[in-house]
Amino acid sequence: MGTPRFDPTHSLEFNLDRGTVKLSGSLERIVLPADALSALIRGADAETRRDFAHRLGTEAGRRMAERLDSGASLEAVVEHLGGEIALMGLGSLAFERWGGALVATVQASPLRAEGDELLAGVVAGALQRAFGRSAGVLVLQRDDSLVRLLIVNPTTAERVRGWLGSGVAWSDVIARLNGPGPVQS
Amino acid sequence: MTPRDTIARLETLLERVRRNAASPGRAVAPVVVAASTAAAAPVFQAPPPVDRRAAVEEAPPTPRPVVEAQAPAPAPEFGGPPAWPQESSSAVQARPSSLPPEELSDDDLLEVTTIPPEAQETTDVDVEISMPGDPIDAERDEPPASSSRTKVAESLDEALASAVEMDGEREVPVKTPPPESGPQAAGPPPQGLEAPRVPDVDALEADLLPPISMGPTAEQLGETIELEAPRGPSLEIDVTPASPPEPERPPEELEVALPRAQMPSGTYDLPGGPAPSPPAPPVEERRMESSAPPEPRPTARPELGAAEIARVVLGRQTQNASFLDVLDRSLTL
Repeated sequence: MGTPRFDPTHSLEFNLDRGTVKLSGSLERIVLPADALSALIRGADAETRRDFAHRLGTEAGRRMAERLDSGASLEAVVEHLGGEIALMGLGSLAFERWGGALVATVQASPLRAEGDELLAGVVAGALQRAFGRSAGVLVLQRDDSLVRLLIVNPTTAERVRGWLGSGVAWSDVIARLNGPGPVQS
Repeated sequence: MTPRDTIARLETLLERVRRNAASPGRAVAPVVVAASTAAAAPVFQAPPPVDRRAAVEEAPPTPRPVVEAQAPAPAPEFGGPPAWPQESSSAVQARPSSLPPEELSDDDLLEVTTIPPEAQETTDVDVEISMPGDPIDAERDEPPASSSRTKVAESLDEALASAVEMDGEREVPVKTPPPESGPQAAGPPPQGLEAPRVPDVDALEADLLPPISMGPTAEQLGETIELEAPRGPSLEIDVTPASPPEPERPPEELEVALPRAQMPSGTYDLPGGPAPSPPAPPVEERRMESSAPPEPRPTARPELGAAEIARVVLGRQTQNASFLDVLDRSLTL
């Protein structure tokens, strides 16, 4: 059985009579300004930010799990999970493989660098909800429009944070994780 | 008349003159017309009109002296006409009318007496005397050469006749007359002008034709330079006779008698009937002949058996790995 394609048709419903917005018939959504949400996240503590991000990811994982099975390919996961993140307006998702390390990239996020931690929580929550794997996702590298999120186990994630905090370059982190060097897929 | 007779007559005439001069009653006083004062302006006084015909009829007429007074020429003012030379003072004395007419003869028609200068101190007078029957008077009837005025006609017929003669003798000036001369009659063109001539066509054609070449002229041959013989390699022209021209082929007989109209259609008038037609070519050849441009016959390449020409090597099958496998591998790092 093939993997179904992501179909966003009528995913977002605007009810102008009631003044409500719904996503795929689920709970009601609120269309917020990005800078307002960014300011709110910036004012919240780390635990609150993490819970807020996990809730968003869990919701995207749930919808993705409805369409994908456990044997879904990488491309299928990128298509569906990326579709859900795009519907939330958080940017465009992709995956990179640096050797054995799996790296998710999000481009053109409206929250910019202030939303990178939010994006990392969303990806972690979606993987937890869709595949039942507890993964540590941390920001590996950031430029003007793209953020690289390293997906590793929570222990390795804490170690990598230490490397990055000590000034180790993100390429050296990848190299350290993969030995001779990363393998890009 | 011999010269002796002439001399005798002259002596007789001289004697008569002396006798007449000696007689006191026949003294002739000179008629002197005093000229105007010298201070007067020069006046050219024309003689009064003389009715010569009336003078002829009044015989014997009284001598009427015609005196033309000529005043001394004053100094010209404003560049006037030049002063004429002053002539010597003279006076013409007419004969007195008391002379008997029978004594007159042809020899003593006019007697001119020159007055000595002391006798005429104040004026210079020229006196001209004319008498009836005088040849001088007769000459005065004729118009002068420089005048165009003619004698007045006495009657209408004479005037008409003179007018006809005047028309024939009138001369039309060649040049344009001045405007003050009045209207001029247009007469026949002067004889000096000729009517335009008709061009001589033969002469013009002869001029257009090139002259007959008689060879170079002497002027053209004057600077003739003799050229030297060529020094370069001699070239010879192949003068081998060309192949004789092929004789003209006799014209083919193109005139063929058409079948007569009385003959039935499909028959031939010539003996033996139509020439036997050549055998019909095969169908393929007829098709070839029907199409105007013959197509080339291509030589086909020998057929090859089925062979695997390309070999495609696919990449490593990485797409089969599930996302969960990749995720688990990354989580093991």
